[in-house]
Amino acid sequence: MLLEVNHLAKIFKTRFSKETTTALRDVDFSVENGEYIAIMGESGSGKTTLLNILATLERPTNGVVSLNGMNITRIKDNELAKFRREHLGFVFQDFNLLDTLNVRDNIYLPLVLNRQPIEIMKERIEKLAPLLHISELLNKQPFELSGGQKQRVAVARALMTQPDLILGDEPTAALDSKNSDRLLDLFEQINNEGQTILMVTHSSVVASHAKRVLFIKDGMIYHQLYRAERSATEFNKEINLAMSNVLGGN
Amino acid sequence: MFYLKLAQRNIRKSFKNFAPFLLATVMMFVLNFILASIVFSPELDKLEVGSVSIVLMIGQVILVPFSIGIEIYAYRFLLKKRSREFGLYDVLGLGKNQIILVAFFELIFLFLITLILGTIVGIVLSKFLFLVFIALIGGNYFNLTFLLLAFIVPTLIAVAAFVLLAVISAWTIRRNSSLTLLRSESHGEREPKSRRLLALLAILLLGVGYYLAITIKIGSLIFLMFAGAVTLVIVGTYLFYVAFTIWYLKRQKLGRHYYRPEKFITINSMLYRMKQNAIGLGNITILVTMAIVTIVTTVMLQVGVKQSMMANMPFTTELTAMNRGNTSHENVSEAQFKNLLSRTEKQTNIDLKAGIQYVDYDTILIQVPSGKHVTINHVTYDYNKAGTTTVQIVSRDTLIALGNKIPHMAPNDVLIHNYAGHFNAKTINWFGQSLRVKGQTSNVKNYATQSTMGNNMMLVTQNDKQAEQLSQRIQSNLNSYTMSQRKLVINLSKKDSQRVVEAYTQVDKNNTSAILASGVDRSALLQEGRAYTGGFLFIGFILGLTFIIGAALIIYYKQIAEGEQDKEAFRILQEVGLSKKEVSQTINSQIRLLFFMPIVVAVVHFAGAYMMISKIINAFGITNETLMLSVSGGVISLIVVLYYVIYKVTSRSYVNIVQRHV
Repeated sequence: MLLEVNHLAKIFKTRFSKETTTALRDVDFSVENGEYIAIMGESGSGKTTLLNILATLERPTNGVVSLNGMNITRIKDNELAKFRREHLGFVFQDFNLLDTLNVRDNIYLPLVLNRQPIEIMKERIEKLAPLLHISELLNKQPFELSGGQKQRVAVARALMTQPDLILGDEPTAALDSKNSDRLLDLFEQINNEGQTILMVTHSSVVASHAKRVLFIKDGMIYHQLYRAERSATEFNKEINLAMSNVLGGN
Repeated sequence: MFYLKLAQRNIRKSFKNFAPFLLATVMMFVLNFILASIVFSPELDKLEVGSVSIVLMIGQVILVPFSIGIEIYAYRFLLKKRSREFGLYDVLGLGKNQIILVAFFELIFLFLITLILGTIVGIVLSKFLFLVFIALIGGNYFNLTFLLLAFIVPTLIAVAAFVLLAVISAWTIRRNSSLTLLRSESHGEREPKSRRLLALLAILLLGVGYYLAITIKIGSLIFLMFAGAVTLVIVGTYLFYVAFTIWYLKRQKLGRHYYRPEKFITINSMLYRMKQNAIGLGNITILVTMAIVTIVTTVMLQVGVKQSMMANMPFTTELTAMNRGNTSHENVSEAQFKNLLSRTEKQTNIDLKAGIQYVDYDTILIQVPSGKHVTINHVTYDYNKAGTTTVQIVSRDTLIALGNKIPHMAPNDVLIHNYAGHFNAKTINWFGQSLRVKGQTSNVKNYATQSTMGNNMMLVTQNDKQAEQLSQRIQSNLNSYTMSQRKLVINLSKKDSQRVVEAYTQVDKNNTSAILASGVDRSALLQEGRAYTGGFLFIGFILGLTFIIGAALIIYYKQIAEGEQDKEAFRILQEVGLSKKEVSQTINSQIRLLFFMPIVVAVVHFAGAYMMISKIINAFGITNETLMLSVSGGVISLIVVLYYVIYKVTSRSYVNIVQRHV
């Protein structure tokens, strides 16, 4: 088992009042190596909080998250950055490329931080760039790229460290439908080569590209669907059906 | 009126944006106010020395363009921050003319605030600084009265500045389309290009500038050379930041070590920082250099003039009698001099018997060749020629009378005392007379020295007769008369000294004899010198303060601007896998680099200008090298500390901006 989440809860306290907000009530699920999972929920459902905890950017109030058997909620503050660097890859909705680096250096960044030799960086980028169709973009600056291109660069950066798990936060939210489809195809392709992916989204179309969809509402996982051998379009229909049935028309 | 209300509301609602601008305008108003209130105060007229007010006025003239420049800088920064707001007005249907009107009303409000705040702060501060000023020039008036003119001058300067700002705002708003106004400041930027030729030119200009400054010679061209060196260094400084730093960083990217975390992030973000900050850094560097130079020069004048005056006048009172310059008269005889003195004694009832009398053979400018056996037969007027030396002939008897211990000498023996230079010949042919140099005297006290540029030495002869003979040999060579004069030096109380000098200069007034009787009272001389250099020091202090405030404002603006940009980078780096601590370390190291660079460059500039400054100060008769070194060191460390405090205070606003979103 790659990732195990047990009884995860997160309660936010506002600093000056005693009011509390429960973002996650009791979340349980597990992810196997090579899975492609979408966590679906609406805004306020707790999906972003869940992702932040998996990304070690936030700590839970209660519960355990273990990656390869290691409890990641107990990692010391000064080791968190190193852990993220070595085990996780991120793809964000707003790409998060550094304006001051060119595309190649943006992709190299995590490996540079890991003090990897330049030969390894070159070797990996040579394999990734054609796969992501960014070979021609390597010497450009981020501001010269379209949204779709930027996101593919961000994916390349996430893959460079060969992470245990890629976390996506609404990765297609800032893309038009064509670029969005292209990115999701790419995710499937990467996943077919063995990369584990977990993303959160509010869109059934995006979720339908995953192999398994978890539904989150009011801080709880209340349902899940497997895609099995169905096409994304068929799966999308079932996701929508499930949502209207289980959520009562939402 | 709607626009008036909008303008008023804008200032109140986003006071945080306006505050740094107001800080700049109020500060500049206050500085102008302080100078004007002292320049036009009736107390200044009570000073016997008129030159002080002229020195202060020169300071004011320098301050005006500078303060307007700082206000423009601050206002453009404000405009940039508010361009989004203006764009929004435009999109919402407020025409450009109306936006300009709003901006204009805002400026009027800001002007009124500046006027009120500036006057209040100005009155308090100038009362305080007036006390400092009076202490510096050695006066004894303790109350500053304000004339209307003291308010009018800074107000007029502020009006001129604000009119200019109104024009700038109208032009900026009209030129930009609503879309460019709306778009936030942060659209992607191309990586700066490496311009090798300009980088090379920067180094070349700095090199030539330094060379000029270091090799500068006293002479008619000194001010041209000075201006040339300063211009080259200023242009070189801007080019250094614009081109050289970028060329250097680009070169770093080629190295193998580039792919190390420390270098990787720093080099890349420094490239962009340099691109955006080059001119600002240039400005800070120039301002800090100017502050150091101004303060060092004026402090040196203040301290050095007193020292050189004390050396020039070892006694409190000096009475002199000399031939009026008519060749038909002999030099003043001892009897004539004694007569003048005794009449003075009678008038004042002050005993002058304790005084020491001697003959001063005056100084002469001579071409002195180098070597062990030298022939001197050439009088010169050119300070620029090598070997030009000021020579003072003094008899051994005079030095002994003044309390010096001088060894026995044969008739044709001379002793040498080098004030400046290294004359060490064994024999001298003095306009046809052979002299043997018996040796050097290391220390001569109580003899009034004259500060001169270039080499300066004293030639001690066996006795008065010999001294007169040597002096006359020059005379026959020049075919003119000697200017030797009789002197009495004595230490008296301040009051007695004043009375004696007054009486002595009047005692022979109605006599038609050719004797010119003159006297100097040291305390009066010191007072005059102090008033003069004190005025300079005060101006140096105010201008230095202004330059530092200017630099501080620019640093402050830079911190705010950079904070906004770094916020984003800070977040991304954390998500990619840099810890909070590491991120703040990298960003801090960059900020520190940017902070230290101008001060390091400024100190290097000052080191380059050091020779030049010391030569100019030399022209005022100050030749104390250790004093110059310690004053420079003191001023630099003071400014570094001040600069650091400014940095610490302003960086807090930077940290606030960056950490808000983390």
